[in-house]
This record gives sequence, C-alpha cells and structure tokens, in this order.
Amino acid sequence: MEIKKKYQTNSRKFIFSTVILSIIVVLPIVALIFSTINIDTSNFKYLWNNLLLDYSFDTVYLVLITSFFSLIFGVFPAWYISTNNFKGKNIYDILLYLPLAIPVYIMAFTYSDILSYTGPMQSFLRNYFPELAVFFNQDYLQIEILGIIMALALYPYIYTACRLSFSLVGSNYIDLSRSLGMSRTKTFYKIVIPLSRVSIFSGLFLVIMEVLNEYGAVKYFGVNTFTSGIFRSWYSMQDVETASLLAVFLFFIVVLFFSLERFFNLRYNFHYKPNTKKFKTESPSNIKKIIIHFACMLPVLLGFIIPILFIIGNVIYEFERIDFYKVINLTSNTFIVSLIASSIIIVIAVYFQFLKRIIKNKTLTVFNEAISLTYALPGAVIGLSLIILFSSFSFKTEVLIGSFAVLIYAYVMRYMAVGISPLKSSFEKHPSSYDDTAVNLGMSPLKLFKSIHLPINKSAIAIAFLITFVDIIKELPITLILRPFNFDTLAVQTYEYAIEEMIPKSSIYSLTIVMMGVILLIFLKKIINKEIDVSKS
Amino acid sequence: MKKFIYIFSALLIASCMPNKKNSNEINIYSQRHYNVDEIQYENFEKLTGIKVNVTKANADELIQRMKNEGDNSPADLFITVDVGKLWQGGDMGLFQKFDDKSVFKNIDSQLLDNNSYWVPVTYRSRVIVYSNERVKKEELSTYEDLSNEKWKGRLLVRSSSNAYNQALMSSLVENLGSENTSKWSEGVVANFARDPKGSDRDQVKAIAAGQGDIAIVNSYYIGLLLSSQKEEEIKAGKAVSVFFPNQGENQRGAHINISGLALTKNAPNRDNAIQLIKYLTSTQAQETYVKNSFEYSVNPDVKPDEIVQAWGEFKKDPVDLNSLGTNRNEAIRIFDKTGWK
Amino acid sequence: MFLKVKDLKKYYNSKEQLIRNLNFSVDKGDIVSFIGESGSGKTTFLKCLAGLEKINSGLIELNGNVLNHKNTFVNPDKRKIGFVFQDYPLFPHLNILENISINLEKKFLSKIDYILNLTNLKNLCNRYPHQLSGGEQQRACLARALVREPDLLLLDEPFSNLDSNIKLTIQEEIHKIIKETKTTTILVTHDIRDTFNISDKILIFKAGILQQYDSPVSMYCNPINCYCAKILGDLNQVTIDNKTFYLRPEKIKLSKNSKFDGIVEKSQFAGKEYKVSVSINGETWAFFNDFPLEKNEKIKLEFENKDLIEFDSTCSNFFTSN
Repeated sequence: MEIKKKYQTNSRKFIFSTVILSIIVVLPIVALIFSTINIDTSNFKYLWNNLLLDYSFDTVYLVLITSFFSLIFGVFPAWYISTNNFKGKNIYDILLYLPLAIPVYIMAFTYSDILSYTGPMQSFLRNYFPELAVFFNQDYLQIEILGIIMALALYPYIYTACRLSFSLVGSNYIDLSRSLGMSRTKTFYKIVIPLSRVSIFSGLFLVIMEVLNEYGAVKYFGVNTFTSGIFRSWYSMQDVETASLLAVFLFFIVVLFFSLERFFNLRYNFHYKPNTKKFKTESPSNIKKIIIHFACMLPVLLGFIIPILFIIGNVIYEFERIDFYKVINLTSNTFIVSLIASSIIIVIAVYFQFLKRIIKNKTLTVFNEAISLTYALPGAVIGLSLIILFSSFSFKTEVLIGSFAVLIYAYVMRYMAVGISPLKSSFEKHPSSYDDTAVNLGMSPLKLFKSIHLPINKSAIAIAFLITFVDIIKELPITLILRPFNFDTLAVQTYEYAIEEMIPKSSIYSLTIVMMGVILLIFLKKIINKEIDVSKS
Repeated sequence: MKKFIYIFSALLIASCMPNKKNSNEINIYSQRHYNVDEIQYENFEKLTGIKVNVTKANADELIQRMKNEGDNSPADLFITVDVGKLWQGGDMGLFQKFDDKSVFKNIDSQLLDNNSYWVPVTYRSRVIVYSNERVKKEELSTYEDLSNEKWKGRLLVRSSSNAYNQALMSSLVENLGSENTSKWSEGVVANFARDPKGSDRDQVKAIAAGQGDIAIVNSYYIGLLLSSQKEEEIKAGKAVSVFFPNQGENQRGAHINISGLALTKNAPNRDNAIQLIKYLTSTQAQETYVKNSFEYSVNPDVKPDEIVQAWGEFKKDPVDLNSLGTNRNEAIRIFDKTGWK
Repeated sequence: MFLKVKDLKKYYNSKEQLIRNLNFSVDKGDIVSFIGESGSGKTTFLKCLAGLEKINSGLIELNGNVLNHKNTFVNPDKRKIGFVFQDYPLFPHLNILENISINLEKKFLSKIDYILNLTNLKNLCNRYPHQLSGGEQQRACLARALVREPDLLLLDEPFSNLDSNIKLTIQEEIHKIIKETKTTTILVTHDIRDTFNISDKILIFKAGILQQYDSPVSMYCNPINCYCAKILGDLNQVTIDNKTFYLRPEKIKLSKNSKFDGIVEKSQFAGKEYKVSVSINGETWAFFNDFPLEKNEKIKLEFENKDLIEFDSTCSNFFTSN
C-alpha cells in the first residue's frame, strides 16, 4: 500500500507520534478488556440469569423515550427558526441552546423537587386549586418522566445539529421541491429530513451516549440501566470482575452504535452544494406564528427558564448560609482543571486532524477513529479502567491514582471525541488542493499549519474548545472517583448535597455551573453564527 | 517555544505528585457530610490546632480507593454511616486495631466491635413510619409482619441498592436465616405500593401524598423533616408517626445501624487521628451530634434531642453488628432473587 | 528540450497501469495541451511532474536539472514548477495580494506589481477570494504561480469551470499572460476545443499511452489514428470500393456531377451554416452547406481523394452515430 506523502522525511516521525498518542488514550480500555479475559464466569451467569434482562429493558426504554422527546424538542424549533422570519427569532435561537449548561443530574433533581408532593407545584395547587391538586398528586419518579427530563437537558445537541444542517440544505432544494408542487410540510418530511439524516443522527448519537453515561439521575429515579448495574456489582458487591464484564459489554454496544453512525455518515452524506444565496425566510401568518412560538417556547420554558428560576429561588432562600469562600474555591478548581484538560484535548485533536491532511495512511485513520471511541464509555467505566490500569503495573504506580494527572487523563479520554467532532468537519471541509498548493509553494509543514490551517480553522478550534470546556465543568462520575484529596469541583459538591436531599444547599453550586455554561454557550453561539454566515456568502 | 515545553513538562510532573503531608493535620475519607460534621471538625481544630482534611465520597468508592492506594494511602481515618462498610474494610485488611479502653468506657457495650477495628459515634434505628390518618398503631408489630397480605399495595421503601436496606436485610438473615428471609422478602415485594425509588424522605412524602400507608425509613429523617425550613416538609413529617418494631416481650428489638470510624492500617498521622476519635466520642461532641442530626448518642448518658425523645425509648436488636457486614452479599442476592429492585 | 520526460511509468498496482511508458519533450516557451478523458491519469501526471506524487520509474528533466530519476528525487518545493489546481484554491483568510505573495522569496517581491498589472488584478488585490468571480480567482492563482518565475507552469483543467460565453475571452487572456512571461506551460484538459487555438503542441493521451504529439494543424490534417482524428473534429466514415476511409465533413461539397448519390436525412442549423446528414449507400455522411436541404431530397456529393484518411481496422470501434 503506497503511502502518499508530500513531506518526505518527517512522515515517519509523525506517524509514530500519532500511534503513541492513540495508544495512550486507548490503553486503559485495553487494560479493562484484558482484565475480563480470565474471570470466573459464575458471577456473569448470576447476572445473566437475574438482572441483565431488566438492565437491558430499562436502558433501551429510557434511550427510546429520551430520543423521542429530544427529537421533538430539537427538530421542530430548528426548522421553524431556520425557515421563518419573526420577532424574537434571535433570542429564541440562543435560549433554545442554553439547557446544555444544565447538567442532566441537576435537571433531574430539580424537577423531582419541583414536582414532588412538598414541592412548589403541588403546594401551590393544594393552596389555591385543591380539586386540581388531587389530580396532580402523582408519583413522578417514573422512567417516562425521567426520559422527558433528560430530553429537556439533551435536546440542544439535536437542535444545534439540525440548525446547521437546515440552513445548509438551502433554498435550492426547497424551491425545487415547491416548484414540483410539494407543500412546505411535505418538503420538510420528504426532502429536508432525509438530507439532514446524518446531522440528526449525529446529534442523536450524542444524546444516547449521555443517557448511557448517566449515573446520578438514573439512580434517583429508580431506573436500572447498565451503568447502574456496573456500579451495583462494583460497589455493592465488591465484584470488580462482573463490573468489568458489564463495562466491556456496554463498550461493545457503544462501538456498535458508533459504527452505525459512521456507516450512516458515509452512506448518506450527500455532498450537496451548500447554500450559495442567503436563505429566503418566510414571514409566517398569525396562526403559524402562534404555532411557532409554542414550539419554541416550550423547550425553553421547561428546559431552561423553570429550572433556573427554581435554582435561583433556592439560592436566594439559602443566601445567608452560603459559604462564598468555598464557592470561589470550587469554581477556581473547576475552571483550572477544565482549562487544562480542554487545552490538551484540543492540541491533540488539532494535531491529529492536521496530520490526517498531510499524510494519507490507513493506519493513521484507524487510530484517529479509535481515540474517539473512549467517548462512548460512561465516566464510571473510564474511572474503573484507569484504576485497573495503574494497579496492574508492577512498579508502584498506584500512587498516581489520586493525582491531578490521572484525573486529567480521564477527562481527556472521555471528552476527546467532543473536541474532535467540530474540528473534523472543519478540517475536512477544505479541499486537499490547499495542501498541494502549499507544498508546491515551498511551505514546510509547520508553516502550512501556522499560516493556513490554524487561521482557517480558527472558529472550529474555538467552538471545539468551548464545547469541551462546558462538558468538563459538568462532569460528575469521573471526578467523584478519581479526584485528589481535598479537591472538589462544583459538580461534585452539587451532587453530594443533592443526593443527601439537601437540594437548596446544592443550588448555589448548580447555579455557578449553569452561569459559567450560559456565558460560554452564548459566546459559542456567536462564533457559530459567524461561521454559518461566512459559509453562506 | 522550547521554554514553554519545559515549563509545561515541569507542571505535568509536579501534578503527578500526590498531595504532600503536613505535620499537623489529619486526612479523613468520609461518607458523612452533614453540617454537623463540619461543625465537629471546626470545633476540633479550634481545640487542638490540628487541621482536618476531608475527602467525601460514597463509602464503596472510598474503600476501592484505599484498596488501590495500598500502603501509600494518605488516609488516617475512614468514616461511614453503615457498619457493614466498616466490617468490610476490616475484613479487607484496610484498618488497624484500636483498643483504647478509656474511649470505650463511655460507649454502650452493645455497640462495640468485638474485632476492635471500628469505633461507633452515633446510632439510629430503621423504623416503620405510618400514616396518622389511615393506620392505627395497633396494626403494626414486627418487621416480619410487613410481608403479611394486609399491607398489600400500602408499603413504601427505597431501593435495595441502598446500604440501609442492605443492613436491615443482613440483620434478618442473621436472625431468621436465609430461607425465611427470602420468603419474607417475597411477601414484602408483593406489598409494594410502587417500585422502590427515591430517598427515605421521599417515602414519607409519598405517605403524606396518599400514595402509600407505611414506610421503612431511618429514624433521623423524621427529625430532619420536622425541623425543616420548608413548611411543606414539616407538614409531611407531621402526617406520620414513628413505630419501633419487634418491641414485644420475647422479641429481639428494633434494627439499628451505626455511624462509625476506623483507623487506617498505615495512618500517617496516627496520633492526631486518635485525638479526633477521642474528641468525637466525648460528651461535648456527642451532644452536638444529637442536637443536629437527630441520631442517638453511643454514650448512654447523653440524651437524644427532644423531638426524638418524643418517640419513646426502644429495645435495640442485640445482634452482632459485624453480621450486618458478613451477611451483606447474601442479602443482596436475596434482594435480586425476590425482585426487590 | 526544456522539459524531457523519458520512459515514465506510474501505476498503483500491476493490473491498473495509469501511465505506461511516456516519452516526450517540450521546447522552452511552448504551451502544450495534454488531452485525455476524465480519469485517464492527467492530473496524476501533472502531480508526478510537480513531485506531489512519486513515479515508479522513468526520468523527468527540467531546464537541465534532473528532477526524478532512479534514486534522485527533487522535493516539490525545489522544482521551480508552478501549479494551478482545478478548483482555484486561494486561501480564504488572505486577500488576493497576500495570496499571491505568500511564502514569496525576497527576490521576487519587485515582480508583484508587474504580475498584478499583467493579470489585471491591480484593483482587486485587497479583496478576498470569495468576493471574486471564477475567472478572477483563476487569474489570481495564475499570478501566484507566475510571480515565482517558474521554469514550468502546470494548469489542471483551467477552462472546465467557466461559462462558455467567457471561455474564449479567458483563453485569450491566459494565452497572452503566458506568452508575455514566456513560461513553458502544460495544460491538461478533457476537451480539446478549449485549447485548440492557444496550444503550440497537443499531446493526446489514452489508455496510459501517448497517442500522438504534434502541432494542432498537423494533428488535424494527419491524425495518427482514428481516436486522435475524432478528438480534433468531426469525421465521416466512408466506404469506397469496399475499402474504409475517413473524411472530414468540411471536405465534402455539393456536386452536380458525381457518382456519389445520397438522400438527405436532416439539416441542422449551426449558426453560420447548416450541418446536413446524408444517407449514401447505407452510410451516413455529414457535410456543411450554406442553406438547408429538404428532407428526402436527392443530392450528389464530391470530395478530393487526397483528403481521404486511412486508418487500421480497429477504427470502426470508435464510431458512434453522429
């Protein structure tokens, strides 16, 4: 297999460095898989006979419900906003996006409190509308409700993907289908959706991964997913081996999903001409306006406004008892550790994407894909695999467990894919003739990177960094397991209070996370909007 | 560029070092993180000048961590709310024996570890609470009675993955044997008003909401509800009453569990840690616990809070507390087999 | 011989030989059109010349320097070859002036003005690529290549992306620019009509082999084989006395006295004339006429024998109906 290289001497060095980096990122998973090879199968049989069915059913059911509602909350607003011109459009555009700042477990705890018997909703009804109150007196800790709540926290993944895709699909195709006599609705279902299949599926993939990863919310709502099974074996039964088996099982399921997504991408990625003229938006009729406002307002209200108001209410209530010194301390901890991990991720991701352009090597591609796989693993599994890895070396590497380095290592493993994704689409967007021209004009790889690839991918790098950063400040399971002594993050503190049923006390910490996230997300949105406009002009 | 790489590498290597040990401090791995604990540590620091560093996490996570850290573990003390975990740590060789008679003389002997690995600091009971409206006290008697059909669709309890339930189940295995306990569990599961979910306090709120009539909860949660800042929670607490099971003449008494601590095997600050143990079992600290967390003191001379006193005195199940650990795996198996989620 | 290519072989595997054994040379200052079908390996060939792809064997020599031979391989940046790619890749974040002068050696800085004037980009040098039309982008790429005074200029499908109404103008502009700078040029295209009038030589490439390499006129009048003949223009297959000959349409005229009788099939309007298809002895001949002829009209055609072209028997495979 001939290696097409344009830069003669350095390619071996580059390939070598890539392989080493990939191995480092993937090594703990390999350790995990290896550790399961020689285990006693009786534990697994026990699991298989008693619990696996329950876990599988709950997991699948939850994934389906969350996916369904995420699609509803994400696709319709994206379509309405992309194709219509109405007052408040831009505000909606930003607001619809913001639930991403609220971690799933915070959303779950908040709503379980809001909806509970002693919570504000039922108390209000009991005081003012007693007949209604009886009707609303239900047990809200159901898997279906959890699915909706998770969808409220995760739909922005789909919203963003669709927003981008719908505006790229462009008026060409819409005009075309209209001239063929198709109504707007039909155009939507028969043309726009299929063309956007890839983006929608990518967004859905992220949603599903988050559902599989979720720990706190699922446990509280009494839903038995695979992840809770892993924890149960690992913690309750001290059965690391069964836990590892379950983790490996989950890993392969996720690899399956991952391959599906790639396959989908390849097969259905229509390389249509991106929108060349400015998108023609419609001014909707009054009836339509009402529908639009309803469709957009609902996710915003439920996914952002109500939870935030509730959290702020708690903070005000607890105001005098807040230890502000602690808040600042935890905020800086969170900020620093996210900053370091995000930076490392972006540097590695950019390096890989750049190399992919200048060196065409199948091995390289395989490794490139491999390092994205670790995203699929729940944080708990990553924590477990790292502990196994470091305990298995003969020299005293266990000391490393409980140090910053390992914590950041775990973050890098978990969120590498998040950083890679936007970079990938940006890097791949530019034609290979850029690199050919650069070689022809005598630019060294470093110069090519600094003068060309770095500037033209600037926005994508910023986007990737921000997205990764926001995800890491929300991260919970890995931090819980691997954090060093006396080192807490905002997420950890929130969880600890919430799980001990001290939700008001947890609110200031949740609020800080959410505020950080909101600011970064708004910033991110502005960058993305600029990108969309530039590619349109 | 090169400079940047050097600095970055140095930082990277530095971050690999686990935290240095300071001479005058203690490092605690603790599952407890109530307000009262912070108050205790603060008071201890003021008294002795010893700084208390706490890493809070789930007991299982902490045990895993100590196991992985091995001899190099920086932890001095391990504190948890479930004796089963304390037994487990001892069984895994994570602790050193602590046998100070001067400390033990202030502690109810029924609560002590006969292996000398752990020291109790508070205890509580896992009781039955019942709806004031819909249940008469006379209907209740024992834990065993909970599998009776008369409670069908009326019983509320949290998930079996919670350590409190696992401890209760372990005590039943110890007292009744596996087979009987298994049958009991089947009956209980058949009586569930709903699938186990939420926390202990959620069960009480569900009674107030009319979704069930009785629940199995830890005693101190009632205290916490009754003293809550939220009006609605107080109301919920008032909607139920506390019942101590198995109090009859020939019956064994109500199930209890302790919060306790253990000295780690290679505690780097052993002497400081022992000082803390002494402090937490002192009368002063015990009174602080009792007033703030509605638990019972391990010192028989220290009276519980008024709210708790109002529930009356009760006979404690004298079963060896370590059995709440040794039977743990069997308990979990019974849970799984009988479908108690 | 300014550029010499000898025994050039390029293949990815032994079954698919892209370039079998290429031998040709180019005189200094010539413009050579390299004609081949899509996918025949034209772009690969250019990339081999430029050093962006490796050859399997052969010699490439430019301006007396061996670029590629056995163990010798001169890196692409040292070859003094300019390359304009098919998609006119201008770096989107740099304006035109910055694009042209990127990585430019100091000695060429003084040439920028001259090149800008030559390519008529003086007024556009502060604009960004997305603000330029296709033709302007192409001129900018050209300027970027020429300012470095390359020994050889390579253009990949320079006219394929342009609207047909401006193609002619742009061809003339490019011709003027190249000739002005006296740059030796190879341009690659799949449609000879784009470069007929600006090429000094044409190289026809098919099935990995050089078919014919000659000036446009010679090639038109004396095509070496049928394939070459068809590429350069319409061709009629005529059978006389059981022998097959080939004849250009413009060599056929209406006649009063001739033994070739035919019936008109159709007359197609072609602007300045009509292309008339005639059925003769079971064959269809096409020729050009000033006025249209009626369908089914009986006519006579004549031509001069010297205009008959003979090829080998495989030629009929290249024929499809007009």
